[in-house]
Amino acid sequence: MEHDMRIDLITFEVLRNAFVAAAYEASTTIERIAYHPVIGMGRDRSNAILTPKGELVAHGHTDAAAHYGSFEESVKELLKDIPVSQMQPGDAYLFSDPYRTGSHVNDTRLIRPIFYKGEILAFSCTVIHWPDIGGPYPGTFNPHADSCYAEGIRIPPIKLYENNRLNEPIWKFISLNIRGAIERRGDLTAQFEAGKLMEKRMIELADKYGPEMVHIAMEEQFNYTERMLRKEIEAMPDGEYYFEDFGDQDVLKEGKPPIKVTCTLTVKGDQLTFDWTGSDVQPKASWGCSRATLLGANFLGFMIAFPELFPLNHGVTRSINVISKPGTCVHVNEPAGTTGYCSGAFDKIEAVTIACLSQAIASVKPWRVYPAAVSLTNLCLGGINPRTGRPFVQYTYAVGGENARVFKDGKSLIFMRFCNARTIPQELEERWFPVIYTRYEARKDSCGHGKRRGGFALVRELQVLTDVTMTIHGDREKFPPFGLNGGTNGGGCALKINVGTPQEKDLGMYATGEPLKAGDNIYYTSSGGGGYGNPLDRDPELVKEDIMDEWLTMEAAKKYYGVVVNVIDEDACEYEIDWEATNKLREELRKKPFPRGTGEHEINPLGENIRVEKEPTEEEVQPHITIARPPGW
Amino acid sequence: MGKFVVGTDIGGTFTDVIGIDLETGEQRLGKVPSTPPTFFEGVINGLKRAGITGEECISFRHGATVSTNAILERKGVNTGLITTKGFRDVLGGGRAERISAFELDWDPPPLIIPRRNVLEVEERIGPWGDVIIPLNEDDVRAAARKFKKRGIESVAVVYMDSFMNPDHEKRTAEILREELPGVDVTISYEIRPEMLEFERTTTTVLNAYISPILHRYLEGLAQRLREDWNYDKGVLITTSGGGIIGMDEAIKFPARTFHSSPVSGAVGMAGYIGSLAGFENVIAFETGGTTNNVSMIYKGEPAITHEWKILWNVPCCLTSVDTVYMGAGGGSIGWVDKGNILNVGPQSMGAVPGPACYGAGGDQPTNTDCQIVLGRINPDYFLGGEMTVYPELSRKALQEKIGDHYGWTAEKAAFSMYKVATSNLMLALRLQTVARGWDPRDFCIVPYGGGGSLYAVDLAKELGVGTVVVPPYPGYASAFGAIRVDVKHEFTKPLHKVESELNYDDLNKDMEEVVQQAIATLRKEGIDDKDMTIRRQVDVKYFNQSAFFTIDVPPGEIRDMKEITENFLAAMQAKYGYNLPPGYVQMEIVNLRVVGLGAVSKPELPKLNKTGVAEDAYKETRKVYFEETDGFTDTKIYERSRLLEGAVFDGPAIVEQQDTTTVMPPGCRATVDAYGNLVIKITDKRK
Repeated sequence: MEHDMRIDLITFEVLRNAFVAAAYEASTTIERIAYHPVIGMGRDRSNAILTPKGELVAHGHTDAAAHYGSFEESVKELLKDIPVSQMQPGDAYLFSDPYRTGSHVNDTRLIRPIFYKGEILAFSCTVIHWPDIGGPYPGTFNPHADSCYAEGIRIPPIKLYENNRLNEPIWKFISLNIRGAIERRGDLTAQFEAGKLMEKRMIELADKYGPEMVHIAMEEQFNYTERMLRKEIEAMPDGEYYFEDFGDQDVLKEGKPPIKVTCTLTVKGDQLTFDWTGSDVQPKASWGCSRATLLGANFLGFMIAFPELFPLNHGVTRSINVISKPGTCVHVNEPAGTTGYCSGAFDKIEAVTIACLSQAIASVKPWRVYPAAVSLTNLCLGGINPRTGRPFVQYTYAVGGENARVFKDGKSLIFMRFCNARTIPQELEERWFPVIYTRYEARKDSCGHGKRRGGFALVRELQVLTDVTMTIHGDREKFPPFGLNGGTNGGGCALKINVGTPQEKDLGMYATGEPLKAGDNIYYTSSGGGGYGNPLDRDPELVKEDIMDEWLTMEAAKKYYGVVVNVIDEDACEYEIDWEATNKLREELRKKPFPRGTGEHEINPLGENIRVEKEPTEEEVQPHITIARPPGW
Repeated sequence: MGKFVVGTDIGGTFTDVIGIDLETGEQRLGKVPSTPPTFFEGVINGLKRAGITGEECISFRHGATVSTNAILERKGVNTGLITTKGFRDVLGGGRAERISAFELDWDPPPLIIPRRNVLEVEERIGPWGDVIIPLNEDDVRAAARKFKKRGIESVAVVYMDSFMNPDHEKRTAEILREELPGVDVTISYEIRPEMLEFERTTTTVLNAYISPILHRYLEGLAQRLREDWNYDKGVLITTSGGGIIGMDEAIKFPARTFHSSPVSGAVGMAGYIGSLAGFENVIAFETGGTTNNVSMIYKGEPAITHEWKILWNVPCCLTSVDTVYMGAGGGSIGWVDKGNILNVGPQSMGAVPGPACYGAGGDQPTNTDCQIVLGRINPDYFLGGEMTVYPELSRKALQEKIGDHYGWTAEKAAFSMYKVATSNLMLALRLQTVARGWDPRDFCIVPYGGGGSLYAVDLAKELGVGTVVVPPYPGYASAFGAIRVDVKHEFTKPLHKVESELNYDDLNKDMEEVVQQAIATLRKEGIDDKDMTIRRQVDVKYFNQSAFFTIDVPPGEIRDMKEITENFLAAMQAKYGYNLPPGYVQMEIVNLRVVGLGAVSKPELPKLNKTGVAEDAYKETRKVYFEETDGFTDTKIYERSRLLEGAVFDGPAIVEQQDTTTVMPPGCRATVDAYGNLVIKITDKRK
């Protein structure tokens, strides 16, 4: 069967790789020259190439995946305000309006039209999470924001660079409204240079292959991706698949009720439809997200089920139907707050998407059945840095436990699924900010238990060395990442101060603008990944190994796994399984109903029914693992 | 009596020996099978095969492949880690990243030290070197007791912020040596006194993991050289930084010897060969059975990284020549995906069962199979005729797995696959140059390893590189490189001070201290003061910027930041094409850095001293497939060993020699230079 593309296979291969490489190269540039550690070291940034119509062609592979899905909306919305006919080479447009661009105000987009011989060739879009973009509290996060007006400045499409020169008055206007504007100028420049670099690479490609061929390659990339996608969907059995997950609370509503996110996935032939209309109405507080974000989270969940379709591009986005209702928590209307989307709605949408797809895919690719994983905990500290005498904003997070896989345990202390980022070294933060770290350690027993257990959550502790204002915006305290097929939910998040002292206080995941004194200690912990399968079916040897590595306590081993382990010599790290006691205990536990529910270490009643018929082995899964990255990196 | 400088390198299959007489320029070569697990036998055999005696050798250079292999094969010793209380998971947590954007089924390689053997000690040094919590010596002794019971053979000690004050680490090492006699102890301050806790921890752990192995290996080797080869003048070990160090230093810092084989090939061989042909910018391109290694030499200096990764989550963060692996070796497989697109790799058939043509059960088409079907590799002269291959199996695999799918002949399938493989390589090479702000057109390519010169000229055409220089013995690159590099040591001292915090008297004093450290080490290795070059550097950045630049410091006392700032801005401009104006925020000096170079006698590549014409080396004419001719075309085949100085010939042509095959498509001209290098100029640029 000869391929039916308008481009020869080799040119196609060269160009599609070159698009990803350009985005990746831009990302590494930002990594090297950005100022705030969360951007440079932490990689909270992303780069994309889009067609002149705003269709996504490629993105970097080490970026914040939460940004991927909203590139298209950002460029399309920009084009509504400013048509290409009004754009010039050397322009770059700043844009950050969550209702139009998706995600939150901190994620500023710098969009650059790329011209070739007077004609528009492509757009580049560079997103960076600015650690602060105004609002009442350092870091802009405001869990108690009753509207967008309480969480930083929104920026409409605005020509910030003209003829490659910064429009100083506009920048001055922005810098008067944000904290740390001097450093932000460094980050903005990194953002701008990334766009220029992508422009350079695209022009080189047009020089070599001609602009028509570049456009054909983009379109054929979409066709190619869609061809593969349709085959994947066709292979899944037709049907309707439902799942739901919850946010902890709407902190501004009476009684602080949980917030429900639901989806019904319909698979019919080669069509996929995700229907989110059953989700709760939009919360009063900042938790929900705009439609652009919903699309991003939905696409990300889809890509996790089909990583071989990398990179996410228009071939995927045009082929999936996503239905939502304005005014719901997954499609909020102005002026609902959105900074909390990344700990709130986003990871619930992503986890629910994956749980729906898991049901559909279980008989086809059983290894792609995934429980939920660690969520984001946004910790912001602000004050005056004694070292510089100027305001600082520290934005950081705790990584945690990934979901169990049907063939293997989940990874511990790893990044959230929606961000292929890196942790910020503590020794580096200690030099930037007036803090000193005292702990970076897994939390015992925090995994979702199961035949395959989830990964473990992280505990971080730090002491502030000056008076600061602290905000934490997290979730998954009451509704930790869910397990599947009888595996338990993971452990939940927490934040406390001055643990073990008379001043100890449990502040939870929604502490807003909390004043801390120099010397106060912050303890916070992330969530553990959901488990898969009945913990009583877990190989006792594996339970013993977890005890030896001090991931699990003896008590948890008994309680969840029914495994009794005795110490022979702790110093020598010698332990043995008491088989008789284990068999007896397991028998007893099997008779007792295990608590069902959505709380910590309970069995999620909906998730309980999601399972695969025959669990593949690790060796069977190995050949299916796709490492999508440009050649040479 | 000869005065030979001898280089040896141990590969997975062969041990290479090369010796060149400093005075006469005489060159002797030996290639013999490697002899795992000790490898000594192979070295002695190689020396004998080359016909060099210990008495004739004045300097013996060695690539410690054994250390890299021990890590890749997880054959280090049972190692423990002691760290600050509360930070047990710095090592296991790493930087929390994944290899791929969406893939959840991937797992990082297992940890070198399981969590159970990471023990905590109460202590804390503050970010500025002050003691916040004193060292709890009882905790150290308790850890020692546990390690003893657990049979731990080597211990790494890494405390938070210890690079600012090593007292706790040093005291811990003392206690451990008391409690655990005979156990190796590595402290992070001696390995990498720099910020970033995870990177410092893995580097220290790698050192500890390998140290007893390298210790035993090098002492064993020295003994064999003494007993079986009458040589007792010291062994110099190649390093990942592109130099050599003495045996004592190598035993103390085995982490400095990782991946030194490709590095010495790049620096000592490719860089040198390029310079002989008049190039100071060189793309060193090695292709072996499963991977390619690429290193860049720019203005005579190798491109450096401070974050070289042995494996995904195992960075070794010592100053190292940047070597990039690309998965496009001879065994990489071609396959058609669900979307109808032809892909090559990353899966590889490896050496067993290997390419289809090996006839060892591999039924997948590989890069080597393409080369055979396209007529580029002579199946009757595979590994110099030492191995039988079956071209019909190559053809069958290509036809069945690719050709039938698209309705192509096996030849078209082979050519398409070859193009996909080279386009991947081309993109990787472009990223290595353009991403650093360098123009590939300013470089030459020096291919080496068994397969580099199969691809080099085609890649040069694609990249716009004008010249390819194929050395006389590409298969001896690492051994040869070892005899062309100097003694090189590097020392750092962290500073972490912004401009307003600087005290220039202290700064000069600190710098001088590091300089003296370098001089003392060079003297210890027998380098005369007159042969020393001391390079002073600082790592600088704008305060709050994440990454730093390493900037050379002019001679004399440092009294202001003016020149350093100017050089920093120039470096930033060169690499990223932009600058923020000075004074924007304060400059920060992160580390002081001193490179100590000790010049040693380096033999030159001997000249051929024989001239000839291409026809002398003509073997036969056979049909080879080229893109330029859009099919098979009559191609002259030359024998490398008979190509003498002055021989000139044009592509299409193929040059065969025992250790490699050089493919010259139409549109290029080869000239043999005085040293026997094939200098291939691109005469007809593609597109």
